[in-house]
Amino acid sequence: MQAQLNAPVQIQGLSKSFSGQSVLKNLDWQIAPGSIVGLLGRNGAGKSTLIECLLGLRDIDGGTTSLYGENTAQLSADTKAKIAYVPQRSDLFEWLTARQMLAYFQQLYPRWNEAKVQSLMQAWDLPFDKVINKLSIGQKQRLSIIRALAHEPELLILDEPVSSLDPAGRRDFLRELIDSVIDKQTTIVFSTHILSDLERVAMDVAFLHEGHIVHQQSLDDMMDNTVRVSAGYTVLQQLQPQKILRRFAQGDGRLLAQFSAEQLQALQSRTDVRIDKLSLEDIFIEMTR
Amino acid sequence: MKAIISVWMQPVFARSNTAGLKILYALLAVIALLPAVLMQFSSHNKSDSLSFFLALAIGTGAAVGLLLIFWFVMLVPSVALQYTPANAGLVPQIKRQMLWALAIPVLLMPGIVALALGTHLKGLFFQSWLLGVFAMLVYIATLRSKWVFILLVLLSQLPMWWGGPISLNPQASWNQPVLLLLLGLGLTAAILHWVFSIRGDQHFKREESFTMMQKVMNGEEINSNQYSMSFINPYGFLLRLCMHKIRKTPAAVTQLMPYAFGAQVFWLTSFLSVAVMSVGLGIYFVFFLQHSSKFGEEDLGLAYAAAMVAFLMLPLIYVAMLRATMYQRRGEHSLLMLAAALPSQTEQTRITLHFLLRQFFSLWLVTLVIVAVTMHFSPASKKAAEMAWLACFCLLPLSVMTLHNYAAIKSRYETALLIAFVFPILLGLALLGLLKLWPALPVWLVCSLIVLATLPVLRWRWQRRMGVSAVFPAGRAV
Repeated sequence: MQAQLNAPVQIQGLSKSFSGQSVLKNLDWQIAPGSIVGLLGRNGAGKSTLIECLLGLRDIDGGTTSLYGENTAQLSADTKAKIAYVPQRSDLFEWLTARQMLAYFQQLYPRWNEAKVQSLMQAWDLPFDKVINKLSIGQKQRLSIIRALAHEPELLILDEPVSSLDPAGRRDFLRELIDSVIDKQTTIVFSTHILSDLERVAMDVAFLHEGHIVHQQSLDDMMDNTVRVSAGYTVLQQLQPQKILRRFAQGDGRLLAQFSAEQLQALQSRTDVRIDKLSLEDIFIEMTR
Repeated sequence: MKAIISVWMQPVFARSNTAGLKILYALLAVIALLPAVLMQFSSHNKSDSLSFFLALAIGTGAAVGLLLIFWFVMLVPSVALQYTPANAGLVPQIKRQMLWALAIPVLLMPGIVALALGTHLKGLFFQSWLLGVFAMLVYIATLRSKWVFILLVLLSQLPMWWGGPISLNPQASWNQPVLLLLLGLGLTAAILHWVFSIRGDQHFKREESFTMMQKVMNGEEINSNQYSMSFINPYGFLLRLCMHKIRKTPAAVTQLMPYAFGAQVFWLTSFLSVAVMSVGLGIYFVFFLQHSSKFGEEDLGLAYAAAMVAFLMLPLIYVAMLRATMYQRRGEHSLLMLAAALPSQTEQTRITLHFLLRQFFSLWLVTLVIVAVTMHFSPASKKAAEMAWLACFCLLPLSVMTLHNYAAIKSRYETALLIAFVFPILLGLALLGLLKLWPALPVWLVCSLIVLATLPVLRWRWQRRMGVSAVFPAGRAV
């Protein structure tokens, strides 16, 4: 119970629909402190909607969302100070210079690490006195991250933070972000549909599909234990996996499931089943198909 | 031909994908019906059905003409949009079709207008056609270079500097239909060739302006500093002042909130823009046109009246653009909702709505002062002064529009432009009717009645908004 109260993110029965079309359906989700969670979902799956509902930036149709045990609609100043949000749109406050924008937000937070701001601006080679509108998309995105990190949050929520960067830019940026910028205790939630980003930085992965978090697990465990089993119907029925991630149509003769290391070893020695180890991309496609 | 029709349809698709169509339909209906309605009211004798239908036909013709002009104005930027870097390889293949898609209306539309106005033009069909073709070509030329606008402004001043009446002697050797026709065709070919001769890297060099244009089409915020008027924008100065104040008094941090909505929501920005424009116009009239042969006393009076109308329009424009601005700034306001030093969402709503209402009243009060000063010093008749006061007070009820539930806005096109423009006009007409019925009724009493009627509505609306837990960020409830 105490763990739930302290959970940075706690969602129960969240529902949200747009014009009668249900996007989030009775969704439950919890994130442990200090974890780095990649929220995966196809385009239009509702990743941004989920994040906005979680932060109280969208009205919800049902359920509860809380951050550090507080209802998101009534967050206290202390809790707000722990949270940082990097929206998908990087073109915010475009009429200000980077210096003006940072000075503006400095007034809005009791804790502000100016040294961190200076060092990141220098490290990422961002101009202080250029109007934000004139920065490249990548620069705007980096500036947005600096703005979010400057008040040293304990929970950082990023909505597709690198989608507008090229592959090399994404790799450098994420590596820097996780390795040298973020405090090790910071809980990070970032949404993406770019799997290579997630493989590089995420500890845990959560799949959003058809309005639900259909699966959440440590990325390493998932990669080690998840296999696609092909066999006859009766053989598949006899298997006892730890978790079935996807049962294909009857007669298809395939199953996406997780097995323990011992089970996998035993399966590999059998001749009546075929086991395929899957990449994250394959798992993503199989789970969200 | 299919490709040309496809180019022609682009502005139609672009327009039908956005809101604001209701305004267009209402406007066209009003234009179409206006001549017939005016004829019915003005004619003392009962008008016959033939003249009624003639008036209706004239109105419909004018509406269709306006629609065509509106379409052409949108066609040119939609052609420009084809010139995105992504289309760089594709553009040469459809260049010919795009060229014809512009050439056909350029050659036909002025011809139709000249034909429709045939009786008034007294045989100057080709001259009028050529003038129309030239005007449309100048507009098209802005596709290639925005500097063409300067040429347009300079050309518009020519009649003011022209010494005597322009002679269009039909016997003159240069004034022959065949020559004019050839000149029109030649101009069209030359200018269109110049406009479409963009090659290779030029596509990419122009990326910025196309991105901006696409943002406009998508209803996104644009921040162009190309034609920046920042020297008259007090926003930066006010922001610095506010920051300075907060450093001294941290409790005043909530005063920073409105700055997240940009300069447009500050009344001083709108007011100074119009004030500088008025001063500029004044200088232009006094120092330049005064020396031209066409300038007269009535021109100065006209300029004076135009400036006052511009100030009167300020509150109206403010409420019309407010919803779109708030919607565009929803991203910025999302960040404020999570800022630690700022109060709860309900309190933020209260502060923001209070700020917006205050801005409207500031703008309206300035308008009121300008009307008062103008009426005091001008030789305007008592009736004209009364009308000016009435116009000013008819704008006051628009203050209710600032207390909108911004959370329920679905797109930036939900501007309520029609209400903002039509409501004061209808109110004004109703009050004029009232004054006609009771001529003894003093105008100050009518104005006071408007104030008395507005205040309870404002109060009711305010309480209703405060009952909603969180109005912002805009669009959150949809």
